[in-house]
Amino acid sequence: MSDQVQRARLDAALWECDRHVAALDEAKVDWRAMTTPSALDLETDSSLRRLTDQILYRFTKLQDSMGERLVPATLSWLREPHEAWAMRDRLDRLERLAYLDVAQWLAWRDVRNRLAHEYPGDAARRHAVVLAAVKAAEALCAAYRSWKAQLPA
Amino acid sequence: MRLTAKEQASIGSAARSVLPPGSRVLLFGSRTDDSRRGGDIDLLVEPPVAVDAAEEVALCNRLASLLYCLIGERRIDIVVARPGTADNRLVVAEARRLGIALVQT
Repeated sequence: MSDQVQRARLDAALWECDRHVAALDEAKVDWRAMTTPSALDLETDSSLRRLTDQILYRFTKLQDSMGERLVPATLSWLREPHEAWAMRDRLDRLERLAYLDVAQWLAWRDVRNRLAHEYPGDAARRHAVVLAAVKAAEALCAAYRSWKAQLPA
Repeated sequence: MRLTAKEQASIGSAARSVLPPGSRVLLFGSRTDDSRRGGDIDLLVEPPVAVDAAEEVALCNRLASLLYCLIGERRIDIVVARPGTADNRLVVAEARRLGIALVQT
């Protein structure tokens, strides 16, 4: 693959991630303007629920874009022979190159997987999962920015 | 029980690393049934004292992500029991009745 094609793939991945990060940044301005919502707030306030859904959706999409697009595009741009590598090997290599922290990445994966559960009858747990995900979304944005800043021109 | 030796050892090592001393971990659900195939790894964690919801979520996150690290990402469902409280969830009762103890930290 030519340098031009590799760069185009990397730029496309960055564009996709940037869109999610921009949406998260917007949502977080509104989130920070409030006191931390209670479990009852999250259950009953529809505008808060929409805001939370936006954050959780973009958190999930940013993980997808980074995992499915940015990881391979970065490795290609760095001329790493990653095509036959398993995802875990790709992550390990990127960690050695200081692009990410694998343990942290896997913790975000678990936060995301936990969002798939609704925990019927357990509002306290739903609340705790949402707050953990909002915090994780912030950390994922920071990790993405650091990754992007490190990419060679 | 349908867990490999490596999976069992990894659950033991992860539990000892992230759970408070005096915790117990049981395997329950389809993985206890040798006649079935596939399925989530369902774990019941019984800490020595009840923890609040935020700590419960943090404990699950630490345990699951360490297990992802050790055995790869897969569907791991963790339920945390609430000792000393009126924890009458059916899933907890069933896990205690039919579960297989894996680890005591």
